[in-house]
Amino acid sequence: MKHLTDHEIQAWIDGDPGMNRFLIEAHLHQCRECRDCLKSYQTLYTVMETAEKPLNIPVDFADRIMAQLPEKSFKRRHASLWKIIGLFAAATFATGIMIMTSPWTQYFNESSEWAQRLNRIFHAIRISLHWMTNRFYGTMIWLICGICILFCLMTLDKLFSCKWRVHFNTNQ
Amino acid sequence: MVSNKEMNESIENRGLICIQKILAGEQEAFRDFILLFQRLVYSITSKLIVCQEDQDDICQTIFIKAYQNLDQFRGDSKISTWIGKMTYNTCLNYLRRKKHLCLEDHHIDHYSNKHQNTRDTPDHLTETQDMSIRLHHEMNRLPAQMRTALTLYHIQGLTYDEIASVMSCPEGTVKSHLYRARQLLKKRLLEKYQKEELIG
Ligand SMILES: [Zn+2]
Repeated sequence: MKHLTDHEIQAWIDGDPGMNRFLIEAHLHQCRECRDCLKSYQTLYTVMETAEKPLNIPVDFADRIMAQLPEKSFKRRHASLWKIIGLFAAATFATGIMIMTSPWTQYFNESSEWAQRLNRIFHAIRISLHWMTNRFYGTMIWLICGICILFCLMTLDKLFSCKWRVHFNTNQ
Repeated sequence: MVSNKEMNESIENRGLICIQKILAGEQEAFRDFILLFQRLVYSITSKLIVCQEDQDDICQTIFIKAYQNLDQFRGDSKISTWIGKMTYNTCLNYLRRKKHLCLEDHHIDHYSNKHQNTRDTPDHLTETQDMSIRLHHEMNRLPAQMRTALTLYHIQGLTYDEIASVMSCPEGTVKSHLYRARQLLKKRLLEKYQKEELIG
């Protein structure tokens, strides 16, 4: 019988997703030697978790740092819900216009009532935008919409960084 | 008893609250931030730097650097990973400057041996305490990267990929550091103790 390697036993304790849990457990079940090896590793883990040597942190460590902290004012990032909703709306609107003015837009298959209704709405918007859809204006609109979407995405990314994570994590 | 993992999670959340306060202009909150993460910073630096005074200086530099870059913390990693990486890199720079390019130096070994001998009186120590002192001693004989990986995994409760980002190396390297280090430690403990003592 081939025994488990030390790596496999450690991987099992660590819960490493790369291991074959089923095979390892099957072997442990029938092999005393590997169970003993597992136990000594478990002891090692336990001792290691409690075995941090004294760190010798000076008592006034925090005071020393606070005394030499540089003046710094952090730019406050106001991230209100309205701003986020506004940005989403702007991005959706821009995407909408891009689709609407696209010469490749396929209307829905008119098989159901709601598809017909949507088609009518789409058609109305398209007519009203018709004057813009010649080549020059069309390109300009696409360009502006593209930039708008990019800007929205970048702003959202910024807003969702630290501050929002802090907010969500601490309110759970 | 609160496990290491739970404790580290709570430190993480309290750290986030501190950052929120500091970014809102409450500088005093940085004091709490220091108290929360000083153990992490010190436990990494103590694995890499021998001289206590240098260690204090470096730890101070790290926290000041952290303060200056606090608004750069994007929140896509844990605070401990962020600080840990900063600490590890600062230590490496220090060692490079000091021309301690070889990380596997044995100064730490001598240093801790000296300290150990003065208080190593196993008579009145319980078995676990004794074993944990032995383990320290054996850990100090390991190369610095292995020591760091072990501390980050077992004491600070970081995962493989978090350690990889602290040490800027592939996850596979972290695993092999950990596996090899533990295998060595187990072997050395088995030389000192009866097999039955370890199996318990
Ligand atoms: Zn076996």
